Amino acid sequence: MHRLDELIESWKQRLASHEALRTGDVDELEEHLRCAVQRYQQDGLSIEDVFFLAEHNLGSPTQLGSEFSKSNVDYVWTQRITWMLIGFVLMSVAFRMVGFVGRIAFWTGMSVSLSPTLTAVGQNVLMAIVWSGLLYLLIRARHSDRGLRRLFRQGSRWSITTAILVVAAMLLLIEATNMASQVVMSRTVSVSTIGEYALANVIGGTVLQPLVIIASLVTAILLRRQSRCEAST
Amino acid sequence: MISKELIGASAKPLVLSVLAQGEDYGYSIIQRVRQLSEDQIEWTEGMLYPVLHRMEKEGLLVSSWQVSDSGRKRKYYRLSKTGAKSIAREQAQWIAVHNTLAKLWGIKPCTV
Repeated sequence: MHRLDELIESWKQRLASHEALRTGDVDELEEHLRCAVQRYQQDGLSIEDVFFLAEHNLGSPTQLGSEFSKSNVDYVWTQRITWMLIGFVLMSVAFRMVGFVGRIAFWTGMSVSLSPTLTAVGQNVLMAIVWSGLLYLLIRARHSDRGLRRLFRQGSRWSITTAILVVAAMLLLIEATNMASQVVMSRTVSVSTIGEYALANVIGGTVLQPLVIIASLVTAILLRRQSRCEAST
Repeated sequence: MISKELIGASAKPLVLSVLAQGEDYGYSIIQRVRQLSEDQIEWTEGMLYPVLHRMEKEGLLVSSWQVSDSGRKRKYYRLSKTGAKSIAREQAQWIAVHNTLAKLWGIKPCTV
């Protein structure tokens, strides 16, 4: 009986990773599976064979997911919109954090009279480190907890899509923000310093940062694929 | 063996008619339909549940979680008033189709 519980538990996890299935649906399908197992056990088959037969007749998780998504349309879209919001909020928070670190680095560089080029390079390197740190936290969180792994499988498609949109929008805004901050700077530092800093920062800001962000998103997509593979085995 | 399309189309009247005999749960509904059809109607078992849920949303069925004899939680379905009324309509439609085909094939039409 213990072996059966293990098989059912792993089947439930595969099923629960599908976005269209609510907890109640999984419970109802589990009860069906157990009824079928009970029925097939009377034929004297092994637990594995009985389970395989019952699972086969019930339908694959993919089949079940696509059928349930038709009857749970409201639920599926509420979930998707929630994940899109989570993706938007997380990406916006990440952007703000990196921007904040960048500003601190800039004012520190200026206050200790570092050369503008060095300030811009230091600033961009620090920002890249923060992006990498956030990415590391994401990978660690995903590996640390089974529940989080399941959530990642469920919601990543929609949050990653939104995050990509946020990145695209932010990248379009970067130039405008850079120009605005340089107007502010022109009141406190000399024009030649701005010119040097701006050149270094434009190279860093428009080449290095987007590369790091794109690398982060690619990693997130790869992690998601890995989660899918884990789910199907 | 009955085609997938016909199985899909007949699911609603079959569920309504099984539940007209009293409340029941998914696995048992499937077994009863299989026995009554002499193994002609074989649903992919999991596909019945979205149908039940849709019918519940349409107000044809009412569901409740109960504890079965085995001590496990089980979801039972029964007909709502609307569901009970809709059986007559389903019956009229299916008999109309049956009788049309019966006339074409020269077999005996049926009456209610």
